[in-house]
Amino acid sequence: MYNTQILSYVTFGYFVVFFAYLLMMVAKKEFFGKFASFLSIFVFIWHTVGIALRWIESYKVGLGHAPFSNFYESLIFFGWAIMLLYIIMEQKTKIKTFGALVTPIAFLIMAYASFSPSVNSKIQPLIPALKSNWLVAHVITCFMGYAAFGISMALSIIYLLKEKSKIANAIEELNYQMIIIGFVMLSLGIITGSVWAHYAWGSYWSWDPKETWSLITWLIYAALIHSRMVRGWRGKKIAILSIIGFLCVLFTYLGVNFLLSGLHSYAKS
Amino acid sequence: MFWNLFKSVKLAVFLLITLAVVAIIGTVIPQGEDAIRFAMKLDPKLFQLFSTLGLFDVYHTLWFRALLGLLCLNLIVCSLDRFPKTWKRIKATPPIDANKVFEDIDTDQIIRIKIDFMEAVKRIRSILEERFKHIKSKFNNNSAFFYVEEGWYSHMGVYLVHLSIIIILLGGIIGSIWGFEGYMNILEGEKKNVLRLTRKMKFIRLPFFVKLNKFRVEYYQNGVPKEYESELLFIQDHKQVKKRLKVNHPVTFEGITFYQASYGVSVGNRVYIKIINNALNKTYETELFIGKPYRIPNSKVIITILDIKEDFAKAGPAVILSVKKEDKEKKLILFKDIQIAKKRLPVPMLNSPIFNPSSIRPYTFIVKDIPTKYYSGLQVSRDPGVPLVWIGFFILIFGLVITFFTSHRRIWVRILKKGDLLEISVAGRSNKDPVSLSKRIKEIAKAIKETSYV
Repeated sequence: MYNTQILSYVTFGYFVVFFAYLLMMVAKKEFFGKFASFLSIFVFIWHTVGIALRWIESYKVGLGHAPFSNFYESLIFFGWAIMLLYIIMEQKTKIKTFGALVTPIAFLIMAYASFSPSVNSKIQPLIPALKSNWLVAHVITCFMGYAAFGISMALSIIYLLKEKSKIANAIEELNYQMIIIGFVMLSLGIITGSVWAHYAWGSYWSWDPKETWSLITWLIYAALIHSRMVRGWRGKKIAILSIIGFLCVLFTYLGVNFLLSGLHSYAKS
Repeated sequence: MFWNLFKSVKLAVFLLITLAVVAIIGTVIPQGEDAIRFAMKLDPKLFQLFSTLGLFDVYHTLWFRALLGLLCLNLIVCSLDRFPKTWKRIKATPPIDANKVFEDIDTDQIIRIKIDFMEAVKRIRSILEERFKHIKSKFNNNSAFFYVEEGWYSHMGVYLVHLSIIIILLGGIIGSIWGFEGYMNILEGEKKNVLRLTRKMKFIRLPFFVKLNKFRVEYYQNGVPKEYESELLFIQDHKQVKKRLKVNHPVTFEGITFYQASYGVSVGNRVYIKIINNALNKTYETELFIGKPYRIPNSKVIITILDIKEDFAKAGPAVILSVKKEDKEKKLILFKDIQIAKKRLPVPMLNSPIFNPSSIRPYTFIVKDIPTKYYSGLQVSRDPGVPLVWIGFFILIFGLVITFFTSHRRIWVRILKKGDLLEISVAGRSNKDPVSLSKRIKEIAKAIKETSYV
């Protein structure tokens, strides 16, 4: 399969991008920054090609479904969503320092997907419950949300490290923007999942562990947003809450699959 | 006191976090039917405590619902408390000739041109008219002020979000009071009107019958099910309606919705058995029904099928046979596939006479076939709260978008006479999102600059 091959090259690509951002920070030369930005977009395009090719190739093997249906595909899309949001953020703000913290996250996710023996990269047939148009909407919104929360976590770590620096305020504002994107996307993800569950399982909410953990995550971020909007919390407190929130995201995504059983159990393979 | 407590956002944050923590408990402690195995391992005192607190069914306990109720109350009081102030803020028009907003503005918000004062007023008015509905203006001796605003509804987003949460929870309450949720397993050819309610040891009777005419399942090459569907016939009095039920495509009859949830294979009440009389070297084959005795030809031995197990000791389908010979009764357990049983069962167990098909001399009993039937697992529910939940979802998304992605912007344009030059400045205030405000201001300033060259 060409798609897995391309995607494993993309993994290395992100490592090189990470290295370029590091070089930019150490050498403090603008050239490396430009190079890193260019390279990140270049690798991201190949990442997109890989996913599109996987979609096409799934039709060639006679299964024909969107590449959002198993654990491998979700990791690949998670990495893609993180890079998409990162590239948009970099283009808008023209700040490149976050690259050295975000690209290794994308690299690690891609490396886990491509090289871990426990992750099956084969295109697998869809079980009947997954055959629905809601699948695409549900997965895209959820993982866009996860990605935004992931970037927010990275920004929070940078904030905690550089609390006294000049760009601290800018980081704080950006962090909040990411949380908002994540919150809206997570809400959409829960809602699309809920509507889908109504058609597939006969109930829009059944307290399945994944549903419950997504709600827990939603509640944590809702608390964060209220603290900031109404109670005026800024900076450190928000950064810490955002890190806690992302831990919930990770548990929703991975912990539930591996530690708890439930209706979402097909996400394991 | 009550009002002050419930209007606080502190309480809201506290409730949100509490709900999150309680929800975590519910995913750590097995819930509902999974709880039984876990509960058996618990210390009796701890079990008593858990069960009193309802920890085996957290999400349906009274206190969990009370927490949700408190959150609703909090939402309502908070919203009622804040709404009048918000409305006032929307309605209030700040002074039109506010010089203060023009302090410390960027240089690209200021345009200096040599143009007739009245001409400038006309052009600026037309630029603003292209962009805003209502323009307020004020003229002084040496200056002119314009005031416009947009996005007042941005303040409403929060209230919509809160309203949507209440609507969704209301939908949930309606569903739990006037709806039901249950399931039935129905065999091919069977007709049923009883279903078991989820989470309850209770059965209810539908006002009509459901018959499973046919069940079909299709597999991928690797043995994973690709698609399965039930051909259902709904029967009410003289009305008969045929419907096809597939996964992800529920069907509704008389307001009750059926979902294809699962399927399985079930044994019936008959088996085909082969009896070898080793002494006479004779073989008999026959069909046997549960509980119906059968006398082996040319003998006084009577055999009866006591039970047919779909899966006995995890070694596949098996038949429990009683063999009566001269008032002495012996039991045999015969596996459909003896090879699988040999692999799965421990040797000492297999050596016991009860598992030995030749232990009753001079006979050997062999199960030729256990006919099986498909059963279809149907989730059956009626939930009058669903439309309300859908409306709530819609308002929630709409409200979130308004809250986070729109802002209430107030923009002023001032024309000052400075010698033979005019100084035109654009400034603004916004309830959030300063970035898009400054974009808007710069866009207006640019338009003014461009028109002044004409």
